[in-house]
Amino acid sequence: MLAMAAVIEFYSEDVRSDCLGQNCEIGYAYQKTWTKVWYDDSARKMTSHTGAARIDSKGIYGYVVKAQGHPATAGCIGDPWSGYQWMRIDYDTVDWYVLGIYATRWHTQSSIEVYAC
Amino acid sequence: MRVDMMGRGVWLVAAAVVVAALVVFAVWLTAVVAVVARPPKSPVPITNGIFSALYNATVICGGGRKTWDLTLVYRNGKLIKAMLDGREIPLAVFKYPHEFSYVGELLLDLNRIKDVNNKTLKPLGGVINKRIGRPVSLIDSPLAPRSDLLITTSFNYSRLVIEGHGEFRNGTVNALLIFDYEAGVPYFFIINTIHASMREFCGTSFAHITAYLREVKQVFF
Repeated sequence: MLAMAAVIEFYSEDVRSDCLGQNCEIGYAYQKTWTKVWYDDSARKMTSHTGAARIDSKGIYGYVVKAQGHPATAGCIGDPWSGYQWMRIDYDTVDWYVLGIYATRWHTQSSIEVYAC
Repeated sequence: MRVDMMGRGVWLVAAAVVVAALVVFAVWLTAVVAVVARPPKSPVPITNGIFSALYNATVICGGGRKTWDLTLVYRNGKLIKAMLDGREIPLAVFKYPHEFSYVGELLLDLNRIKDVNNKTLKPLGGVINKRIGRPVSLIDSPLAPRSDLLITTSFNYSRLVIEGHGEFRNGTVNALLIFDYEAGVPYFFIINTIHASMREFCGTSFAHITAYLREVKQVFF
């Protein structure tokens, strides 16, 4: 009997956006944090992982990345009583400016946990 | 006569262009005003180290992602009580015997924030970065910070065992603290912890907590 190994891709994202004007021609702000993990379900192991941000602005919006973690946390975490998990968490903290005078801060965060330890 | 008509036509076109430009500018200005004229937020109250701070805490752990209230009570800048979802949690969640998230240690004693540097963290194998920036309000927080000291810490572990609580293998852990030093209040933070008390909330002892400030109250002892 031949057992086929299957690699599964897990994906998580967190998005915030704003659009001013009919086609966002006045202003556009977009912030996404994403995390991907590939898991081999026959070996029960995490094979690889990645994560990053996509940040776009247009018109009156501008931005400054204040802090980011890619990854914020990654590794095998747990205890003998409740089990172990492999986990990756990503985050981005970004300041958004309107014409450089007004600012608000967005925090986006994504995470994936797999039983792969 | 023909020259006069041509001249008039040029003026009409110029006037139309100006009117169109004014309309575009008015629409643009309306949008800008709509964004800028959001209701102002109250500044974080200035404390004298004695206060109770209520946070909105998003906890990522073995049981998935949950959001609870987190209350931190301080006396003379030292954390004396912490409650998650209305239930008191041990201060050891933030503390020794590990440096899993050094920001947790800073939350325990706000007086240490000023002096902590890479010399402090080097013996523990970590890296810290501190920088003062323009205070910017987090969109979800109803409060506006007066000042902004941003601190990040980073630790790498091949194996970290915390007896009776849990362990962490082959990984990296980063934490964040945005401290409003004028008010004396942590405004936003991200910490990781491995503590048995987290099993009641998460099913496992690990918790990654992201919290932003919602309210500050004066307390009397």
